[in-house]
Parts: sequence; C-alpha cells; structure tokens
Amino acid sequence: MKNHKEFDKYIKGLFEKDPEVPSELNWEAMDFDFPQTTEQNDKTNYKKYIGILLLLLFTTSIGYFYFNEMGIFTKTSSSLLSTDESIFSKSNFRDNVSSRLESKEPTNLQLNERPTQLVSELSTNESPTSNYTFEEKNKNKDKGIAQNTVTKINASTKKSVLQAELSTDKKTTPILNKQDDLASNNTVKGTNISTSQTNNLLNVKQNKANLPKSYIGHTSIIGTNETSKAKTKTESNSIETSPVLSQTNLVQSSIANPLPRIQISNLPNTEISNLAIATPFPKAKNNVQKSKNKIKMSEVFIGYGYNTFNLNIDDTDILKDKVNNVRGSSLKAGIRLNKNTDWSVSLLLKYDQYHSTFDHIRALEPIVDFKNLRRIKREEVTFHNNYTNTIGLQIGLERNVKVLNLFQLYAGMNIAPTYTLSAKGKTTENTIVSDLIYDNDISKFALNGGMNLGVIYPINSSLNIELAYQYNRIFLDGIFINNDIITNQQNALFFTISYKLKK
Amino acid sequence: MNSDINIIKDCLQGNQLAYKHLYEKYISYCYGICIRYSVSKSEIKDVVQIIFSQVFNSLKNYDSEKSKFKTWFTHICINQILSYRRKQIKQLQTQDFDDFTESIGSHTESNIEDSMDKQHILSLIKQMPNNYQLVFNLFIIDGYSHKEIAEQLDISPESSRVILNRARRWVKKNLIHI
Repeated sequence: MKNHKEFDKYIKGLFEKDPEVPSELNWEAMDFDFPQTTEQNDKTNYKKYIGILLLLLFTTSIGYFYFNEMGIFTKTSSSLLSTDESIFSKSNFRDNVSSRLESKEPTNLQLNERPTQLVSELSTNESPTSNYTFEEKNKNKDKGIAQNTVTKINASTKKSVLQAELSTDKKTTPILNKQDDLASNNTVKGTNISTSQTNNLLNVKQNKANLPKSYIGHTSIIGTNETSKAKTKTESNSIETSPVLSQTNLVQSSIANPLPRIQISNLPNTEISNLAIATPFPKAKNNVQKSKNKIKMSEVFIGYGYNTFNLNIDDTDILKDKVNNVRGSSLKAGIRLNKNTDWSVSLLLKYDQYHSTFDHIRALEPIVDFKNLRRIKREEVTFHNNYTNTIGLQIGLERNVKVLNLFQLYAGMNIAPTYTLSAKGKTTENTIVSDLIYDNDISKFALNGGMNLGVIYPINSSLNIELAYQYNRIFLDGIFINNDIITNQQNALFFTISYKLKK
Repeated sequence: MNSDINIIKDCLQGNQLAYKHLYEKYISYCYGICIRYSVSKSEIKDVVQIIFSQVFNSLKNYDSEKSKFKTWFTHICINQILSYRRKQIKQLQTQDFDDFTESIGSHTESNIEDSMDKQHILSLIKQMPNNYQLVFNLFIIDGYSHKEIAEQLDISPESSRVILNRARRWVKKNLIHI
C-alpha cells in the first residue's frame, strides 16, 4: 500500500508542470463563438416579448371582434328596438311606407284645422273614420304588416285619445314640454298632456311633425303601437283615430326639427313588447332567430389526450442514445363559438406534459460461468422519467362538415403562445447523472401553430363526444426537453366531451 | 484566484480580450490533460476547441464559492475528452481484460528510450489499454475517487480498483522491463 502511495505521488509530481503548447493551439489559430452577453440576451428576450405581446393583441382583437358580433344577437328587447330603428331608415322601407301614406291622406282638411276637427269629430262620433276602411284595404295588400297596424289601430280608441289629449296634468317631463310647444304650434291649443300614454302619443305626433314625408310611415307605426298601449288602460271601443290624426297633421307640418330618438326608458314594458311584435320587418325578426341559433351552437369542452414529439438532438451529443421521447399527456378546456353551421372559432387553455426518458446504463461486475467456461457481462439500466410541462392559450378557426346528419367532421388551424412551466428529471454531461436544470438559453415562451382534424358525434341534444388529431409546430426556439435537446413538433390525439351552452 | 474571477467577470461582460487571457492562461494545462488522455495530434485542436467553447458558454454557471476555477475547468476538460472518446470507451468495455495484457508487450518494447522521465511515462500512458489509462489518469493524476471514476466510466467502484491495480502493475512491469 505504501509503495502504491509513493508511486502515485511520483507519477503525479511528473505532471505538475504544464507542457509547452504547440503553435497550432495559439489563440489566433482558434475560432471561438463567444456567448451572448446578458445585455444581448435581454435584447433578444425583449424582441420575443414584443412578438408575444403583438400576438396576444392580435388574438384578443379577433376574440373581441367575434364576441362583439355575437353580442348584437344576444341583446334584450331594448336593443331590439334600436335595431328596428336602424331598419326604419332604409330607403326601400321608406318608399313602401310613404306610398301607403299617400293613399292615406283622404281629407281636405286644412293643416291647422285638422287636429281640432278630428278631436271634435271624435267627441261626437263613435264610428270609425273613412281611414279605417283604408286600413282594412291595406291589410289585404300586406297582410303581415297591415294586421299589426290594424291591431294597433283597433287598440286605440276615441276615448283614449280624447282623454289623453284633453286631460291635464301639471307634471311634465322634458319631452312633454317640447310636446307642449309642438301642440301649440299645431293648433291643438290648451291641451296639456298628463298621462304616460298621451305623453307617448304626443311624442309620436311630434316625431311625425318633425319628419319629412317619407319618414312618416314608420312614425305612424310607432304611433300606432303607442296608442295601442293607451288602449290597454282605457279599454274603450276600437277606433282608428289617433294614428291617422297625427299622420295627416304632421305630413304637412312645417316644423323641421330632427327626429327625436325614442327613449326606451319612457316606454313601459308592455309597450316594448308590443313594439317588438308589431315591427313589420322580417329582417329584424330573422335577427332574433339567428341570435337564438348562434347561442345554441356555442359550447364548452374539456379534453384529455396523448402527445408525442420529436427530439432535436445532435448526432454527436452524448445524450443521443440516452434520451428517448415517449407518450406524454395533454389536457385542454375551452369554448367553441360557432359562427354558423360551417365555421367555428375555438378558444382554449392547453396543458401539455412532454414525457421523455433518460436511460442510465451502469456496468456491473461480470459473472463467470464455470460450466460453460464463459464470462457473462452485466449492465444495470435505469430509466429516469423526465417531464417538461407547458401551458398555452390556443385560438383556432375550424371548418365543419356534417356527414349524413350522424356526425360532424372538422378541420382547422390554430395558433398558441405557450409558456414552459417546468422541466424535471435527470441528465448528464458525461456519465455522472445529475438533476435536469432548465437551460436559460432557451426561452420559456414559444409560439405554436398547427392544424387539427376531428370528428364530433352527438350523444344527445346537449352533449357531444369528439376525437381529434392535432399537429403543432413550434416556431420560436422550441420546448426544452433535456440539455441541448429541444422539440419543435408535436402530435396529439384528444378525446373531448363538449356541452352546448343553450338549447 | 482573484485574477480568475476578474477575468471571468470581464468575459461575462462580453470582453473578448478577457476570453483571450483566460484561454492563454489555461491552454497549456488543458493541453497537458489532452496528452495524458491520449488525444491524438490530429484531434487535439478539435478537442481544445470543444473544451474552451464549453468553458466559455458555461462561465455564467461557474460558482466561485463552490470550487476553484481550475478544479471546475479540469472537470470540464475531462468530461469533454471522455465524451469525445465515449464510443471508444464503450468498445473497450466489451473486450476481455485478458486481451489487453497480450497487446501490451508489442507496444512497450518499441518507443521507450529514456527511463523515469515525464516523456517516458507519458509514452507509457499512451500505450496503456484505454480503460487502464483512464482510471490511471483519473485516480493518480487528477485525484478522482473510485466512486467518481465509477460514475464517470459507468463501471462499479470495485472494477475501478481492479483496473487501477492492473494499471499500476502494468506501468511498473514496463519500467522494470526497460
């Protein structure tokens, strides 16, 4: 033992002095790539962050745009009213209404006299005016529209109009004040309006007064609706007076104020619903139906699947034969918004666990087989499980195709910024096994893009099951798997259950 | 030691002159290790390139409180050399130990001219069977323990002891023979 120590010391002593270096190893003869400094790294990271930020902005704006569009169809009745208003202004509608109105001006009454005359007529005569007959004719022409109109006209009564116009009330709203002015201009003098019904009626009158001829049609309809509301409270006999009154009066009015916007807050709920029903525009109705369809098609889903991935590894890397990619797990949850039956947008949160093994082989003492006179080599192989966990926000656009009404196929594209949460396991630089440490040279942020194919089978009206294949490619950097090893491609197979939000 | 730390700091700030200083300070030491581990002349430039590239890239991970820079550098050198020769080592592991003894005689008689000097020992080391050479270098000159050698070479510590004893005997035998 002593000899060994002396021998070892002697040998070690011989090599304490370093040898002379040949000229081929001079600094000038070498060619090194210097690592990036911290500042350079910061700059690179800065660019990456900007890119990711832009991407997030892009996805957010797409989402915002889509939700905004959906939002139109999910509004309540108050927004339906405003939708109708926009439709009123359409030229074809104006033409229709104005043509009807032209035939609706049967009287020879003077402009300023007419309201008074009609009021006086109403006070003495309970029968419908000649305009009522005209409305009946109109009904034949355009059944859908006329029915609504006539219903409303029938709903209005002489009494209600009279009561409304002749009753007084000192409580006035700002709108009422305007109406007072208007009333005085239109020679309905000395009639202060008191009830909410008459308020509405006069409001309509004013609207009509302010309108050019072509606008009167829709005002009359609004007026009709409003007067119908008055009827609900007075319960008098049917008579179509007030709409006609206001129309004929206002057509020739010289007041040229802009059309006041109907304040939904001024209208009781019954009136709003009546308006919606009476709206003679199929388009508006279609919108309501569409909105129902769209809501119906939105669904939430949750899916679990398996992923496989490639390993970008250099042939000379020591880990070449030690690291293997095996099947990992993926989890996703999100919402699918069906724009129509053909297209849908999906927003989801995705969790991927990339699973790789690190094989460590250790040679054991050989065994001698005396019977056969041979030496048996032994190795101990340890499989260490390595995991890289990532989370991503994915947005995708999908095209759906129904097959025989039994199931649905879809194909789509997606993009997903991802963030690597952790990387755990074992590695080696040579043969010493050590814990895997995330390589900071590889950014934790990555950008995935890819395509997916799937088949959806409905279990019932609410639940679907889905099988989907997804291929993703990582554009920036890659996902860290082990030392000097990244992955930039991923395949996944998902089994998903989705639930329709509303029937 | 302090100068090493200052040089490393300069390197991390991107000073290329500091890299040059570091290289020139340790190249002869690195070269000595390469020779001991029988890196051939044709390969030595590549190996040095790999070693220093690894050192430069890993400088940010160096912790002066854990070890001296020279120790850390030595580990990188040996790891890289072993990595470079990994395939050869694997092949050697499959060979029977007895085969080596047969091949010794043919090498030992040829190149030895002087006795007991450094060049002579070096030439002996070069002629050693690879696993002898590695264990001999790692244990006697680089100061690794049998456990560390076992981990480095994927062998058991007992094997390392056996190989070391055989290597010693091999060197002594050849020295006496001369």
